Amino acid sequence: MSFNPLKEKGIPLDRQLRNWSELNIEPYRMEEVDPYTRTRVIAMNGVEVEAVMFSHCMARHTIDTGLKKIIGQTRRIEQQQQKVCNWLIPGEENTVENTLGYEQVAVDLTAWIARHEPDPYLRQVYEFGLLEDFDHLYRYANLLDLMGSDPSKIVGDYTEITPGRPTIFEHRHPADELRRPMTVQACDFQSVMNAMTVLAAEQQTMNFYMNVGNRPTDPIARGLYLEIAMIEEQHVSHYESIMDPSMSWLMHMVLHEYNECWMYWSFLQTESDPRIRAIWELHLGMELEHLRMACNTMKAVEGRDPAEFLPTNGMKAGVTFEQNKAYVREVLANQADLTAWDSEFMPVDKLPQDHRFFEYQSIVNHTTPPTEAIIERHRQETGDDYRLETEGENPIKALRRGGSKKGPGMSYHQRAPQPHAQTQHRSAGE
Amino acid sequence: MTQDTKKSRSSSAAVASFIGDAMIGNLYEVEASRLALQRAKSDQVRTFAAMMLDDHLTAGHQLQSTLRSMPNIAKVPSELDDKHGKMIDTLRNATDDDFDGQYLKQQAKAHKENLTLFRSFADSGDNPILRTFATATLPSLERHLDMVKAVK
Repeated sequence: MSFNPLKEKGIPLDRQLRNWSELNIEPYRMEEVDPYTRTRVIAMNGVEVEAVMFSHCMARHTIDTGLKKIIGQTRRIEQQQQKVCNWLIPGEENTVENTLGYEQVAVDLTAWIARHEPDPYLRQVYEFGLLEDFDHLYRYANLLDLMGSDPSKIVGDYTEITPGRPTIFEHRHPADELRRPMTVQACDFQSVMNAMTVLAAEQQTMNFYMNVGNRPTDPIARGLYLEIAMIEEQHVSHYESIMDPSMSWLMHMVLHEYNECWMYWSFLQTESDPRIRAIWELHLGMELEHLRMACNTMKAVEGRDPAEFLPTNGMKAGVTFEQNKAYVREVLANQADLTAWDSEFMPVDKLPQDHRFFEYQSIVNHTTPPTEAIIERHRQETGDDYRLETEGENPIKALRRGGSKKGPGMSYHQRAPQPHAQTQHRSAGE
Repeated sequence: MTQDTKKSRSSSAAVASFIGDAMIGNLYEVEASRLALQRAKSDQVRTFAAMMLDDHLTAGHQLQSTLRSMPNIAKVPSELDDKHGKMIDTLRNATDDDFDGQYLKQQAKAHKENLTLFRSFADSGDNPILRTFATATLPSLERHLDMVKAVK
């Protein structure tokens, strides 16, 4: 089923503003919510936050008062949409439970995007990031389990929890996060939507951890958030560098609105909660008008018709949250020990001896990384780590229970410095 | 042969030629800079060579990553051509006293040639993905040429 937002009619802007009661929406019920409804809510919050922050950046680079008025009006509505999306999350859901939802988004959204990416290089970019977020899910799940809450109740039966590319090895020099940019003029439009979607999701994850990571009192939990927040910053650099850097602000604006239309339409197709489905439908109606306005503004300001770069027949299909267990296992089996050198990906043992990766690792991992300490504490307190392996053991032998990150498929141990043991002994919890 | 077929062949040849020249120019920079790091006497030259090595490894990786999205491109050169091979030989055979001067002279010439190549493709190259690569690499090449002129 295809979707062409340029052929759909939206809600006029003067009918989009809502009152406080309409915005302060009743949250979903934790005990009833489908895990993929939660991930859709989190993903849409990310897309709306990106829309708002982009619009502010654009306003700061715009001298044209008339144009500022137009983007300010749509931005106010995007702000209201963001409130509705994020206020669907109930207060009873604690920060770490919410965090597992964020990482489930990162795993299953990125996996879907990678599977539907036509460009082989960009597909590799997504698979590289996927394995890192997959590992974050495992680390946070161990924290949540120690807090007495069951991680499987958050992710359901949809997503496995087991080590990915160990976070300790994800810390790289900033120069090694720069990928090769796409060229909108020459790429499949799906690639543009894929990149915008994942970038929005990763950026909100970075922002979330940057802000809530200091809420726990437990030093290991605080450390866990800050260490993973550093990787999320790497991921934002990684994904933003695949965007076409030659696009104008107005072209970005049109693409943002198109992306929001596509995302709401996609989730409208699969949402199981009728009340939330109605929200996606309402927001889609609003976004269609924002897109129409953005296209008209581009024509008026730049004299350029967005039809030059928007797909004539729209999007072929919607993005869906669905199980990716087999795919994630396959990627893990083949790519766990990859690292990056500039824009290229390679097994860590292919780096030269004096590569900056090793110096960076030796500095940041000079003491035990919190992502390792949380697993060690779980083992000490319960006898083992927490896993949700519904499809069998981890595909990498070295990452199975009792493994030590050594062996086939994991060459990191041969080259990376080992941290000093400084495991702290405190009870987990916020 | 139709006009369109002729045009397409000449366009493919221009793209292949740019890729080959860019790849060889970059290989030369990497090899010359490694030699300079071993042999240069001047700290300024060594600092410059270290930056050339790092930046041209990056440019080479960016080009490789670009080619991953262009599966129809035929084999790309992985070795220096005669001209650049002779330039490396000249550096290898230079006396210790002459090395720094020879290296800087070659760097100025190589960067001027590279700038001509990249500017031309960025302006009118017949492949948008490679044009993005050329445009994104140009500013570094321009800075390199300014720097080599400033090294004493």
